[in-house]
Amino acid sequence: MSIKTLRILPPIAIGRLGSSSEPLVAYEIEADPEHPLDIPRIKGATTFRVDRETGEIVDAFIPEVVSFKEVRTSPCDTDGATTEHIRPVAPFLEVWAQGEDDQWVPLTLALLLENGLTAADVTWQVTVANRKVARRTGNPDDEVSAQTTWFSAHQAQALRGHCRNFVDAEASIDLGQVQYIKPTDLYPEIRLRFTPAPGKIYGPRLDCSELTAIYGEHWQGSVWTPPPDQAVYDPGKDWLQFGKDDADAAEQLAALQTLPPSLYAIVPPGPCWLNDNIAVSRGYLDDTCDGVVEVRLQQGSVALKAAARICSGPPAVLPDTVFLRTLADDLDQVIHGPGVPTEESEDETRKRALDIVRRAFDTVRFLNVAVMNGNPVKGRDPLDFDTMPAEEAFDVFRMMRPIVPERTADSLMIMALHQQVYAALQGGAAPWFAQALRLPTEVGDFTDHGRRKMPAMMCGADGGYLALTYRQINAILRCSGLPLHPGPEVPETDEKQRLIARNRSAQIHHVAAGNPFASRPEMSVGNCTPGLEMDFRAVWRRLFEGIVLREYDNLVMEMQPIEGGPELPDLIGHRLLRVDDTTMCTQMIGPSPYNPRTRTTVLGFTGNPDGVLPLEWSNALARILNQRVGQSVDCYFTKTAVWSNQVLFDAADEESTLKLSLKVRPFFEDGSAMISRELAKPGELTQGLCSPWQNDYRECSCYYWASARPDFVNVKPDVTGASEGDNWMQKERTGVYVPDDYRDARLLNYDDLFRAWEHYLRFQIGGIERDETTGSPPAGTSST
Amino acid sequence: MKVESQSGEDTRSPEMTMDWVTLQRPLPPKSEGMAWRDYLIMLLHIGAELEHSLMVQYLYAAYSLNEQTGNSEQRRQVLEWRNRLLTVAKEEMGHLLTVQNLLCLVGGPVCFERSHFPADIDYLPFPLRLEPVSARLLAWYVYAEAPHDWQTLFRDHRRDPTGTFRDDIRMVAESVGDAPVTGHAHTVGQLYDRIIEVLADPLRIPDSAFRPDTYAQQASWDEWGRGYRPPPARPGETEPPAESIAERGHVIVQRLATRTEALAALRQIGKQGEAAHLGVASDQEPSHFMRFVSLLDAFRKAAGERDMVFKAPVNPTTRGAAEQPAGTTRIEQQTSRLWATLFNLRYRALLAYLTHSFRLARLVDAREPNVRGAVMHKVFGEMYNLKALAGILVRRPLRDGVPADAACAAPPFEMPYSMDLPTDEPDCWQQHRDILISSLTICDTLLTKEDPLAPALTTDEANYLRALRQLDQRSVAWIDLIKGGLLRHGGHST
Repeated sequence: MSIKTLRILPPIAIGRLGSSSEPLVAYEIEADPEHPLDIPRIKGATTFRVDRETGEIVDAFIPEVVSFKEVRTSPCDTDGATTEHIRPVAPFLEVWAQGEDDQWVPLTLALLLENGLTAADVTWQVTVANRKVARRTGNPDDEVSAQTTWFSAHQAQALRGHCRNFVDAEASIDLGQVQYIKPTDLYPEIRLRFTPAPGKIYGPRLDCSELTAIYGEHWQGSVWTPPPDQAVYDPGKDWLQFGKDDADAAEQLAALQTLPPSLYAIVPPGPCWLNDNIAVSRGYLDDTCDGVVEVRLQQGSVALKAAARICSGPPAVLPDTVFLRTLADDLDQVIHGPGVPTEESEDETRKRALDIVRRAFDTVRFLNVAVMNGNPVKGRDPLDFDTMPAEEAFDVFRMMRPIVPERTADSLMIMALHQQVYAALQGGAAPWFAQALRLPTEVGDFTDHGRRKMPAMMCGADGGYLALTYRQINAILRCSGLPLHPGPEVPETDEKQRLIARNRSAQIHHVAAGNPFASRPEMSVGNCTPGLEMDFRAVWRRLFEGIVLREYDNLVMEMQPIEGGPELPDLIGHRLLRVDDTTMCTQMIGPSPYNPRTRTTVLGFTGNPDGVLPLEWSNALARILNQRVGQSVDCYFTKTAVWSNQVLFDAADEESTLKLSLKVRPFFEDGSAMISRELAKPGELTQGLCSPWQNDYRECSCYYWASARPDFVNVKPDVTGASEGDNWMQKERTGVYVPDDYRDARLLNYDDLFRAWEHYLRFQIGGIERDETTGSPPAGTSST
Repeated sequence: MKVESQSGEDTRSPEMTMDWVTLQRPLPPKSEGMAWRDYLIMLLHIGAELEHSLMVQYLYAAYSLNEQTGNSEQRRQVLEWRNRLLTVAKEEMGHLLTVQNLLCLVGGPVCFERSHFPADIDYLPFPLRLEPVSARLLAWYVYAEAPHDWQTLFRDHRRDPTGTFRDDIRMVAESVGDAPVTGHAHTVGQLYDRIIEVLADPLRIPDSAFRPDTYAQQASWDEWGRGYRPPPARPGETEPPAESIAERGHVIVQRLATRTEALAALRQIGKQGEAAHLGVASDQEPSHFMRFVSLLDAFRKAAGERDMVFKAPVNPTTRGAAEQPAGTTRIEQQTSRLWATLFNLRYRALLAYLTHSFRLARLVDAREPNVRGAVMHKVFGEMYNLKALAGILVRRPLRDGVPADAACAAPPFEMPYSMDLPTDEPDCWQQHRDILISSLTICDTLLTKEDPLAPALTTDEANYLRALRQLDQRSVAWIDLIKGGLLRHGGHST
């Protein structure tokens, strides 16, 4: 077979940090048919043992036990002290080849030989970056980047991240490594392995007196600082003490970049919103990254190329639980559109609907519903705790009220109810709750009517309540026999488009041999505010040629001249209000104080009198992406730069908007499922995330991603009929939940995590706190 | 009572047909010496039974619709019809709960009792039965929910069809066929009129008869409404967004602290049922009467194109041949009967939890998540079970040797031997436990025992049973924990 085209599969792979020298074995998750309501079981899958020196796969085995953490006892340590090392997720990326017959097959030694080539003719280059600091300071010199040369050797290639603002040219951050696996007769496939970094935190190089000046006299007992080999940042540069000077124009501009702006380690006290919004950076960086893997095969004068994306993120502490809305869901919507493909069978749609309900109760499992509902906690004011109702009160001045009646808000009760729904659906009942689903245009509805829609109590990428993707919603609507959203029917795609969609879908969901389930987009949260593995919002910034948007809303941040294209007016500071007939915003409404049940009021405030909430792009642009890629669309901007002010689109007021025709960029490259490099450069998919990511685990409450960053663990019913358990962030497991007011000393603080995150962030496997799959409790137990 | 056979489409035996609007059925009078409050409670019990019975009838009708035949548009249409019937059933549930609240307000016992079907008891306004959807049945529903003056018009048409009548009158008349209409029938609205009449009179029901202190213990819309009401008006507007609520529904569950509130709630319930048809019908909230009219119209237009209704029996029962009540159809196929027994158990569980939730309101802290909240959620869980089981039953045969598409089983909605809750709390929980153990036994039997005369267990059915079994096992463990706490602490911990 001749080789016509190459692909790297999967097109996006997630590495997960950990300091163990042994990567996590491959595993899958599967439901237990006899106990369908249990968390899916983790089952070992074909795992490759790679010789580090030669790069060869020396063994393939299926592990009986999947161990997520390695505990070491130092041989010199007589008191038995141990250290804990999480096993990193080190995914493989496979090269696939397409022949003249259009069939796709793995690229192997034999296929190379057939074409007069060898493994040495395959070369790789990997480019990664960590742009978290640069994103905040606005200074390109703060970018940490690493790029290998083109290589075909099989030794591991280090990804040493250098930065112009490090102390010197030698200083670097270990961003991980890549290794071209040496194909053998037994394992002839061409593949690369990405091993992420161990999860260290880096920072400025400061001496004792400088540290005292920043942290005060007694810092040594409380503040973690990076050890010398991790003190790489030049303390004279922007990142250390960033945020100190509110009047600094550069800082003000930089503060416009991310939401929330202060997602970084700050000089205590934290969090900033409880301390007059003072957020002075400690100058910390982490060793996560994202970037592009490229492969090249030289066939005479023709170079075949392919690319894929990688990123590294925190460990999946719930490795058997899939969040309600994931990166895979958003990518599926980009591929298939917001509707239900006409060729999709009813059975397939039904399976998808069932899966959504399944994920709903798996998520609720780890959410302290009573607290997240805004209940008083043993008499304490619910405003003291970080919940969506509290966010509403702080951000848009909606009166603080629980979402559902307090007496019905309990984790195990709600989980059981969801499971009952699941059981009924499994029995063949059509979904009856479709109209209880929140539409993406309803995320700003903070009335009880709106808040009680599903999913409840969780935050979406736009800061409003979480909505599923249109595609997910429409799967449930289709099963219910109700009309689909949004609005006018999406025109049927032709066979060629359907084929491309099917191919892309297959690529996204490709299961590479040797990869743990945790490496897949299904295990990356989709409601990026900003996210855990990647900030998917970053891909939307350059969707329209000529402009760069702020990823979390509709503000134009940059202009990018279009080569050979029309010259656009300066739109920096303008807002994009509408694209064709799709408005990019909604209005935040809440209950009227004088008649909260039947009347509403706009939740407006200074700078946003109309209560405008820009919608998250993934859903807002779903139809545009499905129908108008490569075409020009009508974009309506504010006539003038408005910056932080929000503006409501008024179709009748032409004078206040500027209409321009912009072209929609392709989302994927060629026929692949690789997110286009035109949309996001290396480092940009992770630049919006917290720096260091450990900081986010402290700050972000579980109503963002309960099944990835849990809240309620070791949950069981108590004698009152309600749930009891521990807060995942509490230091000692007592069975009594410590509500998180960000001050309680019984809870982990930032420095605890910086110091020993691998110890403190405990895995939950099968709903039980443990590090491996042995010793599992009898199936079918727990809960009400 | 005279029983007459119906028109030809009926598949039931002549003995089982009933003249559905025939005799004088006056509301029961207050007997000599009876206190007015006591009489009011009696009327409210009749109202509760009526709402309960109507709800079950509508549910049965909804579940009898077959959404699996025809093309996708036809299936969608049948699903829509089913949703409409289910919406009305949900609203009847709301009425039922509001009536319970009214009982609390006047110090009466809650009532979730209901006569067995077929029910033709003197003080019920009309015979109640479980019957699959037909034009005639829908016409009956129209009649049952109609305002009194509409009924008068209808009977005038029956006496002299050559007169000038509205289209809806003619349509219902054609659907009714040859069934005679000889007398007056009291509709739901008329019962409530009587209740209102009694309640509004302070000489009959003095202020001292009311128990406003029960307010916090009554069922609230927040707990039971589940979003089924029109959304609030947009800012600056006074009416909710203009969209059909035919599917969404407006479940009315009112808590009541005063006579004024009670009267307003009763009028609202009455209006939701019948509505002034001679006036302009509100597009925002069509009454049950109007909804049945439009449903009948749609059904008649579609009828004959395909088989939209399962071949479900009238008044199915799980009783043995020797004890089978008159007017019922026995589910003869053994496995189907097991499924139907499971259905009855879940129905019983639902009613038991519902009744218990009112008692628990007096025993535990109403503000905290506790057993009461859990029990309320379990009521909804049982509703979902009934939905799933009904869907399974109508795909199973009624008798051996006859395929389901010729004669299917159906949800029997049979009442348990007693709706009384034990006096003591531990015994209450033991009763819940017993029901679950029974359910577990049946689940195990269905999963493991082979019946060569029954269709094999489908994947969906097996998946459902396993999930249900797991839920029940957990519930049993949970109940044991609650009971243990009760015995230790001498009452519910709060």
